[in-house]
Amino acid sequence: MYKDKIEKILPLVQKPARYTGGELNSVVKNKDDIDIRFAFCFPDTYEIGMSHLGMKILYSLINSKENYWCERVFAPDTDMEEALRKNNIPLFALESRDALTEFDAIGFTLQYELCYTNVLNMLNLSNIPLRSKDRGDTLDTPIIVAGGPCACNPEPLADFIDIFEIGEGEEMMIELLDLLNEYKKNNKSRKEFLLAASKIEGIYVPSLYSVTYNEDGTIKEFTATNGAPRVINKRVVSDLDNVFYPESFVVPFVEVVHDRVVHEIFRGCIRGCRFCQAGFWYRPIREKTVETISKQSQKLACTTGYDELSLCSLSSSDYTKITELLEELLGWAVPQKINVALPSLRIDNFSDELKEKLALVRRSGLTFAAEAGTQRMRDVINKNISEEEILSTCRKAFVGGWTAVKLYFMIGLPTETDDDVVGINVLSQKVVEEFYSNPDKPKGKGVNVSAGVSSFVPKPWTPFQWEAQDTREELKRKQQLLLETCTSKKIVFRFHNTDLTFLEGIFARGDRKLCDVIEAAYKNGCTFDSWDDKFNFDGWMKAFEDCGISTEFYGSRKRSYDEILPWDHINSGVSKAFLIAENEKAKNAETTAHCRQKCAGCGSNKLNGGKCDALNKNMVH
Amino acid sequence: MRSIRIWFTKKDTARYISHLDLTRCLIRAFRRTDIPLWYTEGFNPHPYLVFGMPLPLGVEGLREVLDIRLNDDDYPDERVLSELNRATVPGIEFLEVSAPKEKPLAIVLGKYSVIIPDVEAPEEFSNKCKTAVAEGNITIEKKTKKGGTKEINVCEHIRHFHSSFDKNGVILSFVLPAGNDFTVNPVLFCNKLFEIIGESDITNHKIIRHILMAKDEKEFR
Repeated sequence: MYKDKIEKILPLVQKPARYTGGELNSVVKNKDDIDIRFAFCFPDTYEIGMSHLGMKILYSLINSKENYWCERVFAPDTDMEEALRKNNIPLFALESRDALTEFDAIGFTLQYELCYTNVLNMLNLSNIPLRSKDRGDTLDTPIIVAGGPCACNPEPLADFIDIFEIGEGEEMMIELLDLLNEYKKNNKSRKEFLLAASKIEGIYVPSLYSVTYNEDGTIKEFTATNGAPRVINKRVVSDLDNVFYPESFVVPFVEVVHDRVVHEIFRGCIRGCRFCQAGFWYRPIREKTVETISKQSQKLACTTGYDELSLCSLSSSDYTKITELLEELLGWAVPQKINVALPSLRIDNFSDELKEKLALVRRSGLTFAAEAGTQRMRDVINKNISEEEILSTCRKAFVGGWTAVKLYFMIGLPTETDDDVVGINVLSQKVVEEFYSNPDKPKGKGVNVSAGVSSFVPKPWTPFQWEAQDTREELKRKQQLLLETCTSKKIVFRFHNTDLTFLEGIFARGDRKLCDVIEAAYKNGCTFDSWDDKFNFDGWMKAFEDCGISTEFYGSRKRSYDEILPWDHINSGVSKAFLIAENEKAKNAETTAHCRQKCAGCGSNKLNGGKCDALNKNMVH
Repeated sequence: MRSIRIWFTKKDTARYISHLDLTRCLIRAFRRTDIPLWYTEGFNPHPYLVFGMPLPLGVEGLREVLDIRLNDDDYPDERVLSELNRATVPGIEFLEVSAPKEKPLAIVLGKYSVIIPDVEAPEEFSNKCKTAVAEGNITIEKKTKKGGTKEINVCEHIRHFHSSFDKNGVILSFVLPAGNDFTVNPVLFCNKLFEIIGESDITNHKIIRHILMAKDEKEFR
C-alpha cells in the first residue's frame, strides 16, 4: 500500500511539512459522503502555490458544497519526485493522500507559461495519460481542467487539457462540477460530458475544435465541431460583493512566499499600459465595497491568526475609496497588532499620519516601476508617468531617510532605439544625483539604485500582440549596452535570463503545434523551467529541432492585423479594433488617458452587462 | 504579568513541523484565542515565547514545554488550556498548564524511545543493536556553534540503553543529553546505529521523546 510508503519517504526529503497536509483549516471530509472529488493542482512547489489567492478561493468554494471535496496538490520538489518514483508512489493529494486517479476531476492553474512541463510531469507522476485522446471514453479517468491567466491563450496545451476555464472561476467551477456530478450519476460518456460542458459560458473544450494551417504555418481556419460554440466568451463575475470569498485560508506550517491574509479589492485596471496582459484581460473594472472588504478580512484574520493583511489588485491606489478603506481597516487591525500592507502603491496621495500606520514603506527600500528610460518610450507603452514624478518621489524618499531605490525597466519594447535603452542609464543616474543634491543626506552613506531590467514579451490580448519579440542576441546586446554606458558604481543592474524570456514569448503566443514541443521537452528532462537552477535550455532547443518547429515563427515574427491569431476564438470583451487602434497610437508615441478620465471604449463591459466601475463611480483622482 | 508553563504534544504530522515553523504556528494559534499573551515592549513588539528544548525534525514529543507570560493575572489556567486546544492543529495537543518550577536552562537530558516496525528478524535486530552500543563506538558528526563539525561518540553520553522486541518489531529506549550546552541528536544516533548493524535503509522508525529531565535524571518541572 503506497500510503505506508509515503511515511517512509517523508523523513528523507527537505521540508517534509510541505507534503504532510494537516495544516490549519485544511478540509478533510468523509469519502463516503462525497459525490465529486476535485484535485486542485498548482504546477510549482508548495511555497509558491500556497501563496496563490485563486487556489484559496476555489478550494473554499468547492468545499463549501457538502457533497464535493477539493484537495490540494503541488509539484513535488526534485528530491521528493525522486523518492516518489523510486518507491512507485503516485503523486498524492495532501488531504487524503489518495492518488490523483481516484479523483473525478483535476484542475491546474496556469500562472505563467514556463510551468507547462510541470503540468505534464504531474500527470505522468499520477499515471494519467498526457494526451486527452488517450484517456478513454468514460468518466473513470479524471477530467483534466485548466484555468488561470495563461488560459487566455490555451492553445499550446490544447492536446493535454480536456477542459479550459476561460476567465474567472467562481461561478463556472461549480456549474462544471454540477454537470460532471449529473453526468457521472447517469453513466454518460466522456464525449457527451465534454460536449455538454462546452455549452457553459467560459468553458472551452479544445478537442471539439479543429485547426488547419496555411503553408507559411499561420492558421488558415479554426472550426468548431459537434455544435460547440464558435466563440468562447471569457467568464466575468459581475458583483464582487456577492461572489464567494473564503472565510478561512489554509495556514501553512512552512514559510511560503505570501504568508498572510490577502484581500482582492478590485478586478481590472484603469491604466491601460500597452504591454500589460493583466491590465486588459481582467477588465472590466469591478470594485468591492469598503464594508465587504473590511468584514471579510476581519473574519480571515480571526480564523487564521495571521498578523498581516495585504490588499491586492493591479494598482491599489486606483481604488476609488482607498483612504476610507485604509482608515476602516487600520481601525481594527492596529489594536489587534495586525500590519496592513499595500504592495505596488503610489504613496504621494496619503497623509503622513496614514503612511506611518501602514507597513507600506519599509526602511529597506522603495520600488518604482518606471518601465522605460525615456519619455518617448513611456508614451509608446502608455505608462503615464513623467520623469518629474519619478524624481520627485525619489526626492521625498531620500529626504525621508531612504538610501536605496529599486527601479524596474523593460528592454526590447516595440519601436525601441538604443537611445531609449541608454535612457535607462540616464534616468537611473538622475536618481543618483537626486540623492546627492539632498542637503540633509545621511553622512557617510551612499545611495544604492538597483535597476531591474526585464525583457519585454509580447502577450495576447494586448495592443502589442502582433509585435515581434527581440531575439536573444538583440536582448543580450542591449543588456551589454546598458552595462557599457553605465558610469556610476551606485547603479546595479539585474537582468532577466534571455533564454527564459525567449521561451516565454514563444508559449505566450503559441498555437497547437507547440503541444508536441512541450511533450518532447518534457521527455528531454525539462521541468521547473522558471527556476534558474533547474532550467534546461538545451532540452528545449533539442525539442524544437526534433519537432521541426521554428522558434522565429513564434518569437521574432511580426504578425499582420489580418492574421488569424491562435486565441481569436476567445472573446475577452476587449475588441480587436480597440487593440489595433492602441497599437497604432503606440507607433506615434500617443498616449491614451486612463479609464476614469475618459472611457477609451475597449468593449470589455459588454461581457458584464454594460457595467464598468471605471465609468459608474465618481472620479476621485 | 504572570508566567505560565504549558505542556504539549507534537505528534503525527506535527512532528514534521520544524522548530522555527512551530514558533510561528503557535503564535498564530494564540492569536486565534482570547488568551492575553504578553508582548515584548519596544520598537517592534513580539509575543514572548520560550521553548524548553527544540525537537529534531521528525521526532515526536509527548511532553514538550513552552513558557509564556500573560497580561491578565486572573486569566484562568483551565481557560488557557481549553482555548489553545480549540485553536490548535492536528498533532499538537495542550496537556497541562503549571507554574514554572525550574528555569528552562535546567533541562539537560531527554528520555527517548524508538519504534521500529515490520522488522523481519526482530530478535537478531535487537541483539545487534545491544552489541553495537556495548562495543562503545558509535561516532556521529555534530555541528558546532562556530559552524564547523566535530565528532562525538554517542556511547560516551548515552544512558539506560535498552532494546526489546516482539513479533512486529523492535523498541529501543535510552536517555541522551538534551540541554542548552550539549545535545546529542537521536536522529543522527539512530541513523548511525542502523548503519553499523547493516540496516541503513530503515526509514519508517519513529523516535519519541517522552520527557525532558533536569540533572540527576529528575523530570523537569
